Amino acid sequence: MFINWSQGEINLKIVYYGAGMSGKTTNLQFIYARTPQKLRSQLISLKTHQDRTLLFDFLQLEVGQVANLKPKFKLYTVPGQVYYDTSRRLILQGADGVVFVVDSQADRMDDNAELWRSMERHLVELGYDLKTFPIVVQINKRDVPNTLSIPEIRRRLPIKGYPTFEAVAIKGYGVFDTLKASMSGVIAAAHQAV
Amino acid sequence: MYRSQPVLSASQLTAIHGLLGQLSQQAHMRCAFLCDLSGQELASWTEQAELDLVSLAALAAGDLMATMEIARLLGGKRACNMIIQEHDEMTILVSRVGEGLVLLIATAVDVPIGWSRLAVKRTGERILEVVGTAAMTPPPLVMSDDFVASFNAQIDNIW
Ligand SMILES: Nc1nc2c(ncn2[C@@H]2O[C@H](COP(=O)(O)OP(=O)(O)OP(=O)(O)O)[C@@H](O)[C@H]2O)c(=O)[nH]1
Ligand SMILES: [Mg+2]
Repeated sequence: MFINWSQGEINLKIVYYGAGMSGKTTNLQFIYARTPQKLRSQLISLKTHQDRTLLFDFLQLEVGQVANLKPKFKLYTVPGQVYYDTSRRLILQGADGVVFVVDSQADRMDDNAELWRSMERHLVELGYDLKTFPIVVQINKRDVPNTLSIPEIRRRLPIKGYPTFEAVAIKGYGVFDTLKASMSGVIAAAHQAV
Repeated sequence: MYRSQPVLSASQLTAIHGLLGQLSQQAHMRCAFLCDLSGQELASWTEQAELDLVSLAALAAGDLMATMEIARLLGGKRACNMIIQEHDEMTILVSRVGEGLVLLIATAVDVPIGWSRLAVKRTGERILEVVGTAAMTPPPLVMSDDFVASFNAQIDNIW
């Protein structure tokens, strides 16, 4: 969180974290497409030729003036492929909140679980307190055939107690519910902190 | 505790703007720019009115973090402090300032790199002096009690 007192700006960073191909970049693309131009920056994507995230995607959102402040949100995605773990840790630095994107497909559960563990490990190493750090869970790809049921996913992943949203990011379903829950959580935590 | 990140006062930011402006008077500077390692832009001086500072901050921080990590993997003991890009029409230097800040300058090609390196180093030291002074001052309480409710109502209006 960086506060520019002279301009009343409060800058907050939200990181979309999760397994490869779970739909993190798709979330940012949909948010970009549906946000008025005056409230958003460019969408920057550092990606491979196969459209996989290489280092990050980045999008800044403004929400206008709220009371005496102008909150600005910097949204980042991490690269989900297993071997980019170091890059994920870099992007998590300075995060004020995380959106964890789960891929609902049965054969992706091990990767979801592995990425959840790596997220917790990185956050702890970076000095965050997991008890208070705002994490929102998005259960994505609800439209594809071989998905697990929500109760089964809850059983397989340690997501109990976190705000959770079902989504079909490619159609935009659940994308803004997730984003707004994360923004509110981050703002509430910042409110506690100042 | 919540993650501590720079909380700069208006007067600190003005002082940093002044330092960046001074650089531009000493040599042909295209841009001088300060952000932090999490990609927040803090202060800038630029020749180009339309420069996308938000994107620049995210990329400069990512660039420096990736470079520091390469050095760490190769066994570098001291964190990297400078990346230099030489282009036909300009030179770009990205430098780490203290633990968490990033200073970027882009100069015209006729500015010698040796001078730029030194200028970046000196400016970095002076920025640290400015940042150091009030880092201990607690920020005034600015978020009113109904701030969270107002915020939530506002984002519901947008999306
Ligand atoms: N059917 C379906 N496809 C989706 C959904 N969300 C994303 N996709 C597709 O899944 C693929 C991967 O999506 P990305 O957003 O690039 O995934 P990512 O999490 O950014 O992947 P990495 O960058 O490798 O970490 C793309 O082809 C998307 O179009 C969804 O809800 N349903
Ligand atoms: Mg991606």
